[in-house]
Amino acid sequence: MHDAIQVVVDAAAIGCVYSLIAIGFTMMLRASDLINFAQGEMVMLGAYIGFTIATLAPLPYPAIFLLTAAALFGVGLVMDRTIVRPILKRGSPVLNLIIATVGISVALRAIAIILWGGYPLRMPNARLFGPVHVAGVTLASESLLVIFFGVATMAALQWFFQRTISGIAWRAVAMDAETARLMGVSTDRTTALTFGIASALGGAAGVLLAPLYNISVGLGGIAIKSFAASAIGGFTLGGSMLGGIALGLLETLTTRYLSSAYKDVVSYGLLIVILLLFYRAKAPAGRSAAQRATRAVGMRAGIAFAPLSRYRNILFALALGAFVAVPHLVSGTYTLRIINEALIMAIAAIGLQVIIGYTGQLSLGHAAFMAIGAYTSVLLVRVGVPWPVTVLAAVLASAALSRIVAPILRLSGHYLAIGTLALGQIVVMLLINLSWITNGAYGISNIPAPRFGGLVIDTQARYFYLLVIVFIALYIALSRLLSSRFGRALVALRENELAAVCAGVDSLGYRTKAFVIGCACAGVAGAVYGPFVSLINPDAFTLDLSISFLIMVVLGGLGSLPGAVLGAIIVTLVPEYFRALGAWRLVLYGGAIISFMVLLPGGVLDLIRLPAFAFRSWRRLVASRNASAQSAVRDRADVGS
Amino acid sequence: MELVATGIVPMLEGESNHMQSAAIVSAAVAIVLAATTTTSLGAQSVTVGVVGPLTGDFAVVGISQVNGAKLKVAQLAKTDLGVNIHLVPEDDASKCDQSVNATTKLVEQERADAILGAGNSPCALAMVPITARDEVPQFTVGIGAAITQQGSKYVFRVAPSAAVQTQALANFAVGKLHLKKIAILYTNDEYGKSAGEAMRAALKAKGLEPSVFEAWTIGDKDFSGQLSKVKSSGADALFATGSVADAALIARQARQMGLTVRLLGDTGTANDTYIKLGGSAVEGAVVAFPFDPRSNEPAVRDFVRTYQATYGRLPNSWDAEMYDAVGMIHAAVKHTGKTDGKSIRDYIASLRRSSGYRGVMGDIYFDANGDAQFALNMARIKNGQFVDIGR
Amino acid sequence: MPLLEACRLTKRFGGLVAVNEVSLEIARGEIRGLIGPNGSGKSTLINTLSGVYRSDAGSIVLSSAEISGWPAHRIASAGIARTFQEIQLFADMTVLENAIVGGHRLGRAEEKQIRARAQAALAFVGIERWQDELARNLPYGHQRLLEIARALVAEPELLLLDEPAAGLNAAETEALMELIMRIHAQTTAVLLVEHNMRLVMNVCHIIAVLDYGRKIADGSPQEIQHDPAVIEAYLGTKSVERSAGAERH
Repeated sequence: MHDAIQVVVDAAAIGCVYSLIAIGFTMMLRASDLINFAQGEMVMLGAYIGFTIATLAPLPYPAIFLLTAAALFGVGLVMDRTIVRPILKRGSPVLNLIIATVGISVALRAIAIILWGGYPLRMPNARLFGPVHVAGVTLASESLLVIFFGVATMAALQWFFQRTISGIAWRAVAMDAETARLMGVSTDRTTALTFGIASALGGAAGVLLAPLYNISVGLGGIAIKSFAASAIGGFTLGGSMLGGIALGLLETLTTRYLSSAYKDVVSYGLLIVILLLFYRAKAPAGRSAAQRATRAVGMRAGIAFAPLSRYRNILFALALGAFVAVPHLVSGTYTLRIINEALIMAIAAIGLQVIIGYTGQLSLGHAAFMAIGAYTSVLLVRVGVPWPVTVLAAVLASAALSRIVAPILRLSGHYLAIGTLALGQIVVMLLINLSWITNGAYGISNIPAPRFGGLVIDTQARYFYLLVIVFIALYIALSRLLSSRFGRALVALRENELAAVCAGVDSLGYRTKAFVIGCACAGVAGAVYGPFVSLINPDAFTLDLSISFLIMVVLGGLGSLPGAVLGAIIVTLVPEYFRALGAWRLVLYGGAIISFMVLLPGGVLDLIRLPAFAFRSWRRLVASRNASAQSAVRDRADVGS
Repeated sequence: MELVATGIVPMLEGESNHMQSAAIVSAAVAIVLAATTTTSLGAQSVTVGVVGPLTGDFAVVGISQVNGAKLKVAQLAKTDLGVNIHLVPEDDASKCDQSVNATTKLVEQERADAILGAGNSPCALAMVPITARDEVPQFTVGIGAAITQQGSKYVFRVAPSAAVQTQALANFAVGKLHLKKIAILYTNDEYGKSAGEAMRAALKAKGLEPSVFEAWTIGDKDFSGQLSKVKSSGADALFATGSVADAALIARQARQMGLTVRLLGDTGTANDTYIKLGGSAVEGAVVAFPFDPRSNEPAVRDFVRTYQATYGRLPNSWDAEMYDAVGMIHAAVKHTGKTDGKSIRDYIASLRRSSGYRGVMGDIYFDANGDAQFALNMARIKNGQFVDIGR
Repeated sequence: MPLLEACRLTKRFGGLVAVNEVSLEIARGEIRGLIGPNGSGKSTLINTLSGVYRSDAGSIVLSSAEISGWPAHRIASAGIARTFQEIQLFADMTVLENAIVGGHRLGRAEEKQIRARAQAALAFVGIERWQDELARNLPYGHQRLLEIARALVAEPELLLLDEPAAGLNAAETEALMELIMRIHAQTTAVLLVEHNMRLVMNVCHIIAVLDYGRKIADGSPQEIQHDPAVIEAYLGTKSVERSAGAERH
């Protein structure tokens, strides 16, 4: 009985926090189809700002709470004005916006370290009352505080959405943006309101967490679970509230009664099951032309590159020549090492491009498949299997795992994103906990250099040639595949699943194949990654890496293999180049991501595409002018006769 | 470039001065450093790289590494114009591939003569083949056993390893405090696992089994599950290891549950952060205490005073360890008259108990593996202060 | 034997029975009409026949194969092609590529052959000169034609047209009527769902009428026009229909 009261209070407290953040996620998703990766940083900012207010002025906690929420509301508005609106105005793919929020998140976390130091902080006394004794159980005042403010905030929100004009207008936009617009609801205002409120909710969650936990840069990590809560709630407002509480209860119970090592495996596994039970796509989704369909990708790479295609052989020869020459041109192994790392990332990124850019499936678990490849290869090398054979085994292992988990591809859109995210977390947890195979958190060190018979790949230059060969072989294979009937079917599915299916394209079948192929590429990358670093551990393959891959694919240019390569190069090189700047480098990196996404709707590839596109338009203009001149001549001739 | 880079880190620092304009601080430090790094003619120049997490969840470690090292560099610049030490910090975000990249860069491009890092053990381990091959002495604060077991002559652990500190702690807990049922909670990352398993081994050597041996995941904030297992096991002590912030939170949640066990802490908890975050909950805790900022040793008092004046907080053991590492490098250059990695390494390896480097961590010397030999004291937290209680 | 035989087909959405025990036969090469007031279940029936929705009861037999319960792509491969009430194109693919996807079910046939067929289909509906344009840039009427061309590439045995005249002007509707006759001449059977009575009455051989999910009549255009049940079904909505019709013309 005592235990039950304690469990309920604990669960309710953390559940309320999840709910607040989850409502923020849901609002963003409903209003602009956005997964906001910066929501966690709003939580973090809320905690830090609350801390600062509390240290500056001895205000009562409710005042701190309100001031923090208001400050974060402002942050949300600024984000909307400077980043969200410009991106939406360009009609860019929604993935651009998602990546921009990743940029915000990266930059804000670094800024927090710069402003508040990396040391965890403790909220100054935030007590309204002492501990409460109920039926012999002592309940911490912090938990009760969280529940009180959490419930009050949700009640206020409920009132806002049900009773105020703005709230009702917001719901109208969430239901049917087009109709709401016709009815005179300003979508701009709605989006601004969404970002304001969602950020304020994140901040409120942060300032509630601050007395309960410590304040640190990692506090935003809680957002991942809140996102899961909002998915459990079906991405509805009421559902998110309940989903948060449910997740809080689930977590508190698993922590209490399950092995702590497998707690996350169980809760993420359960999440996938829940998603598959309730949120499978029922019928293929169409994208009718009348709905002013947003683009899935920025601009068609193939079309823009068409003028270049006749020089394909020359370009290819040039590239090959460059590849052979690079190790001789670059001085020292450091630069070569970075190039090699970029190549490894590119191998995985072109795989993800097949999954995301071509087929339109948002995967947040790519790193997991790289991990499977890396561990498979390394473990087999350890028992004496020749390295080239282990690479094949790595590819097979990654492909096999992806095939086994392929049923999650029945989830659509954002549910798939959270499903693959959960999958990635599970794989990392298993790598940590199955220590009899993986050596757990210690990782596997002293990975020997790859060996082909007598040839040992023990210098960066040799590694470079090896990687180039692997990369080019994969690239050519993929680009052939993608320019065939297969690739066309994938693009068709991405563009309009309903129409593709009714043309005879087996949606799940093709999406599964694309997923398996993409994950197999990650397996290859994993197999070459192990000996490259000489040590692999679960830390290397966390969500951070999956998100980095996502950045590569979108930043470079969605739906284009060269885009993915370009993205891999940028994502590897930019933070590397500014490494010596410490935390500032991530501010720069985040800023670069944001500005690329705001300025270049089709990714960095636009810098190449736009001139090509302009050239094509100019040629067409000239051609049509000639044609009209000719027809004018003909007309005159007609009149003459 | 280096000036810009090194000028940044102090801004990351400090709880008391975080309200100050970051730009002013950074500019001031840059000017100071610019002044101090002007070399007199004929001075020997030594480049020391620092690899550690300056961003991410473990930024505390990297920031301390850099702060400690930088303070020593600045002090030496004033007292010894004959040796001119450049410090080049590189962020690895505690990702091993980045540590390896940073090390390669330091060795090749910066021509580093010595490297301090990495902040976490797997990354330090991943750096070992490079520093061994290129003969660059590597000084790490990582506690994982494997780092110094690679056969490299170029790696030095300036911190007490997991085995050393848990052994000392177990000796004290069992021998002096007469504790019998010790519960172990650890993070399931490399640090926590190293320390947790080492503690279990240390207890086993005394014929004891931990009453609870449970992990938590970095990012977990609710420890009620683990703590209720501790409670029902009837433990008389709790050793929570892996993250100082989590250890403090565990202490708070334990007290809320009415758990009155004695708290034991690794060296990571032997700093003010633990007390600040833990508050009254960590009162009475006994921790392995490699560095006492309240010591009356003149060298320590000087270090602590300057550190506080510069960064507005008390130094922790990472600060002190890196401070001493720079001191040792300087001593090596002074004694051998050479700045190459091999000479520095040979000098430091030749230190013995009788001829140890006299630093703020005590007299430092290394065994054949490169592990610093510590006489590790314990401290008890009393009225919000660490009190040295011997070993 | 009929080409397609649907028997007592039923589709429910929650409590609503959108299609209620509808039986329908389509003979090879015939143009079948399907009409009914708004919400009578026409689109649901088409979606059920094409496999987009799964029927709750009843059977669908296509040339002696039972296809109910098959996924949509399999039904498409079996020879039923369709267009959509709300245009569904691959917006960021070119017009030609759109058409080529329509030939997907032809399998790994020679790429050049499929391309040629796709171009022929574009020429057949008269938009071949737009083939390199992105589908999203086509004018509305041409987008409708592209949908039809895409459906024709794989030479289906049965073409389901879901309100193809919606949004077209008079001239375009006239051209559409002529296009349907030409499709018919190629011996492709057509199921035409349409609100435009003139179009339906002019091109269809037999017309089925749905009301509240039930089939209330089935017969030649003349029979339908004089069927009392049909007149009754349309009576309440007649004026609405007429004004909607007027808007379109």
